[in-house]
Amino acid sequence: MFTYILKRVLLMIPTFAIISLIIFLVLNLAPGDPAAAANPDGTETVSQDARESYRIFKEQFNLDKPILLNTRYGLTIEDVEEPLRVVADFQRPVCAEGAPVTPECTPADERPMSADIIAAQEEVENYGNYAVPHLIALAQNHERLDIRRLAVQRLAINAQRPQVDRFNPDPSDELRESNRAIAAENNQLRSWSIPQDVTPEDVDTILEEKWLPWFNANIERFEYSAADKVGIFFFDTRFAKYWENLLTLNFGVSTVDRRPVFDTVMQKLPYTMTLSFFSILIAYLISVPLGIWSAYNQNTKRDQVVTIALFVLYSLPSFFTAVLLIQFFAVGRPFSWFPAGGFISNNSENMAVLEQMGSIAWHILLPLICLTYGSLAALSRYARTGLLDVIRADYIRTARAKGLAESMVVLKHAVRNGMIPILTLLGTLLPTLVSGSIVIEFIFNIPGIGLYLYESIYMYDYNAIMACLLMSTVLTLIGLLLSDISYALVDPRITFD
Amino acid sequence: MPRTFKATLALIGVLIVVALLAIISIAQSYQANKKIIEVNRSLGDLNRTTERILSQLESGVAVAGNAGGGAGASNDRYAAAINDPDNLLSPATDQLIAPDAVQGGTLKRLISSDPKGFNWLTENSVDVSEIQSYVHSGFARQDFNNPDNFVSDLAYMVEVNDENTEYTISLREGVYWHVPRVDFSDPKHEWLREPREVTAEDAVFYFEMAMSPQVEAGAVKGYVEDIEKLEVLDKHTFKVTWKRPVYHSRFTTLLAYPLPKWLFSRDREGNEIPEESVPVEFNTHWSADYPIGTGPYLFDSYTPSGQVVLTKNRDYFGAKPPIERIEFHIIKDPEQGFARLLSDQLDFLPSLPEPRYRSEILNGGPESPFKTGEFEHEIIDAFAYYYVGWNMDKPLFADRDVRLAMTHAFNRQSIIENVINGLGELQTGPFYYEHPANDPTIEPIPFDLEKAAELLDGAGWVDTDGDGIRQKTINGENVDFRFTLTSYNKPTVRSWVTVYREDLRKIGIEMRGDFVEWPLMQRRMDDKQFDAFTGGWGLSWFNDPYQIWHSSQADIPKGSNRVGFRNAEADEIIETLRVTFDNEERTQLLRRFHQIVHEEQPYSFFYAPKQTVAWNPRLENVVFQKIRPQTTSLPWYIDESGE
Repeated sequence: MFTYILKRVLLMIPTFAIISLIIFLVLNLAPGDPAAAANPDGTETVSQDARESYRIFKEQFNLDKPILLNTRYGLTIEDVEEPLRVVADFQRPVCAEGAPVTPECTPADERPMSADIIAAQEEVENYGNYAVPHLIALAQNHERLDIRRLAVQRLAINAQRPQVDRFNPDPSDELRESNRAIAAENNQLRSWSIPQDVTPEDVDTILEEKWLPWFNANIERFEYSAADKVGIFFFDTRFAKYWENLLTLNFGVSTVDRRPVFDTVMQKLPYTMTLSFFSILIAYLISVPLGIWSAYNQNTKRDQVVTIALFVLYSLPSFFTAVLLIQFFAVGRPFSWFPAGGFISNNSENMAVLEQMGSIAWHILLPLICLTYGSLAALSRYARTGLLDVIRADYIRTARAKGLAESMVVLKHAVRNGMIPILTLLGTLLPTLVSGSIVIEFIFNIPGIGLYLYESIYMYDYNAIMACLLMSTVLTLIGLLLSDISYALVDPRITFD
Repeated sequence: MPRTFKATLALIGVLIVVALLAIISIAQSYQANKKIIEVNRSLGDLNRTTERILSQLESGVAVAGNAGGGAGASNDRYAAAINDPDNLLSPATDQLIAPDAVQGGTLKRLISSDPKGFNWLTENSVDVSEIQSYVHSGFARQDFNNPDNFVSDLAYMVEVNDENTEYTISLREGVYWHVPRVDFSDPKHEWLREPREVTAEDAVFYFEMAMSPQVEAGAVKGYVEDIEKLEVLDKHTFKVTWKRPVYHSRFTTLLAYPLPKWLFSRDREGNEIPEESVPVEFNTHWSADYPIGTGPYLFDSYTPSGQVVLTKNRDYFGAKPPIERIEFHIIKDPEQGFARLLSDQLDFLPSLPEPRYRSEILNGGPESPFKTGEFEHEIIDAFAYYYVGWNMDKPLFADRDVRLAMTHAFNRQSIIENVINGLGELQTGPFYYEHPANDPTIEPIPFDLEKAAELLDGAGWVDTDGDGIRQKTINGENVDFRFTLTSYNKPTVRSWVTVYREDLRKIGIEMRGDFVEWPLMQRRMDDKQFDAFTGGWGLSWFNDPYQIWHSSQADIPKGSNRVGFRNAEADEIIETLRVTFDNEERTQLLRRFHQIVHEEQPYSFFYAPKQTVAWNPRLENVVFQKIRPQTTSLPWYIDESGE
């Protein structure tokens, strides 16, 4: 038994890694970027040149890095020159019609499209530090002045280093100090840029005075040994950075509100868990007796009526019922017995504990109904078949023959054996405890995990989505294991040895 | 060990009961603890208030009314300054607060999303800006009745030199920052207890942060980059010098607000942060959870997905609003908002869902709560407009006649009436339709399919092969007139795109609607991966068309001139507008600009949306303003008896 469990637990680790890789890839390959803000009514405000902010944003969330494998240590000078050339070509005036093509102008039909310029700028930007040696070389030697100038301007941005562990709410002194040094250096590097109208001498001067001394002093940052290259290849990527955090149980920071995702999830978990727990509990409390009763009255009119009723419930979509319930019982058309939504009353902080519980119960009754009724059909069917399997067994006949009361026969002998499958189902329900219901939480405005996941998906908040999904993953894996173990525990005929 | 079945059941039952009791007792003691802390905190507050009253009594000043404000002498100075002809500030013409207002009460209103933090500078979503307008004050504010005028807020005097480059701003004295609502039971917060005065240092700090490249203040970055230097002249006076006269310097300087430098330059324990790190740490500074300001309301608390609570600031320097407490309930589903209004869990709904507007107000029978007087409603402008943008860099829409034809084929008035229930005003240009810049002589382009077909014929788009789709030879290639409209995925947009598509098909154009979510839409626009798209702009009273319409903005990454509008005359007007301060002249230029845009049709302008606000009639004096925030509750009051 122990070896079995150990094997299963060990197997869970690669399974989890592969699942996380798949989710990560699907998220990152989906078109679109994490958005800083939602846009419910489809209108934007004119935001002024957010370029630098956008770059810092990308850098903070590793969005400038390749997704899986990084080969940027092997950038060639051509890789960097190409996008610079596109930008430079665009910035040159267009040659007048009929005039001879000179190096000072771009022929009209070769002028790059704006989409290309945008892509080119993005490309150099994403190269980050890796492009620095090539930018230095381009600034020194390129035959075109405008490319040399661009290279210096890019250097002032690309040479900057990102802050380390920037969202740490409680930074250590060393971290503070190193970040302060980085900020100071960045400030300096940023100021070593040059304006549009420069002479070759200006470029030489700034290179000689500022960039070359700095580059030579920091050259070790840009020389990669074989080991460095392997490290960069596998580890300087979005996925590796994500896993690096994950190993320390750090789910990262939300791109939306810049708070640690884990804190937010923890804060939302109680709402979802309360709802799911009671929903599962009530579902079992109703459907098990119902299933037993159905099995006992198998194929009678009563059984059929109950079956049909349950399947009718099963086929009603919960968002539809939810809206109807609110309409009928919450907004005074015709009744206003329950609140229209929320989890607890507003002035709950002044209530005694029992009052608070009452308030919660009053609030979650309608959502509970919506969450529960759908699962009744399936569960009671399980209970019914489970019982039917055993009710005709020999030992039941023996029990009856012994002269035991009928209730004793059914409850003690039949039910205990017939309910094994339904008990083991409990394990698989574990993940629903935390995943919550997107639809119900949205309609009733319950601030749980489901609503959080829904919002995160709309905002492309990768870290939040990953955190929610990975939690479900872990619990699914554990739930499956538990349900397998519980088989062995409940039914002595099953062993794993 | 033999155990009877019943005993097992009983055992399980007992265990469950014990567990429940344990949970209840833990919860109770936790709660008791929390209450003790709270009582302690309010005792502390009480003590401090008493101390202040005592000290004021000792110094012989009567404890009356205007506790935080200055004494009589400075009030006279403020009054004199308003009449000074050099002062850019004008006397306020909007009397917000009714003298007979009933004091007190709680206003429960709705916001539709969780605020992403309360750093006023880096966070500029509509919801947070709205909360900011209650909690904080600017140097000046726009007059609600006459938005071209600035009236005094924190500043009582603003002077500018003749070149319009040097603004000298004098702040009121004796205005104190709110005390952040941190947990004072923790001794590390002790240093925050003492209220601090707003100084010129704080004012300058705002500009420093906005200008710092490390601060993620995307919304204002471009406006402040022309500032040359900032000087603190004395404790309450500072000077902003601009590199050159630019029109936006006016509102950028005057509508700015101070930020507490003493707070942002310290960590949670009150230790100084090294100067180089201040801008970096500014973005994620801990104080964003406890926002402060100088406004009429104090920020009280925020429960995620719950509510944001504000309470009245008794030390506010201006006229104090009647309502004691404002709760912003965070409700994401608009239907849920309406349900809460009906069940009296909300007093005010800033936007009734469109289907509800139709069913309850337009088609509502005499039973409708809006007819029986149970609720009231009004239709106000949402201060935005929608449009369809044509990618002028694509050969398809490079021709002005084609774009004009597209507008002729767009049955805008009918869509406004039938799809959005009349909740919109047909838009002819890029300005607010009631703003003087909007040229009233411009007639909307009528819906006219024949005219559209004629224009397309003239532009060389003719159906030569008889398949019902027009063609044209572009660069030696025979191209069909088919394109994709990248559309924002919303039910309303879906319906009107269908109408538009049908009309276009009648004149031989095939349009495909591609409905995508916002992040993807943004990405497509950044990459210029679209033929045409549906968009919307929020409007501002101060018009600076540079960002959206200047040709230089067409090719920068993430630029707002996504359609690639390049027009020499328009560029010239835009540049002139940037250095023109005279309102008359500006109006002339803006109207000419409006005409150019109308002729060129880079967008098919669609409509300016209106929203239905609904409220419980226990709210009195519910008035709405012409500019944002239109639904500011400062003048409102709550009359429970008047039902």
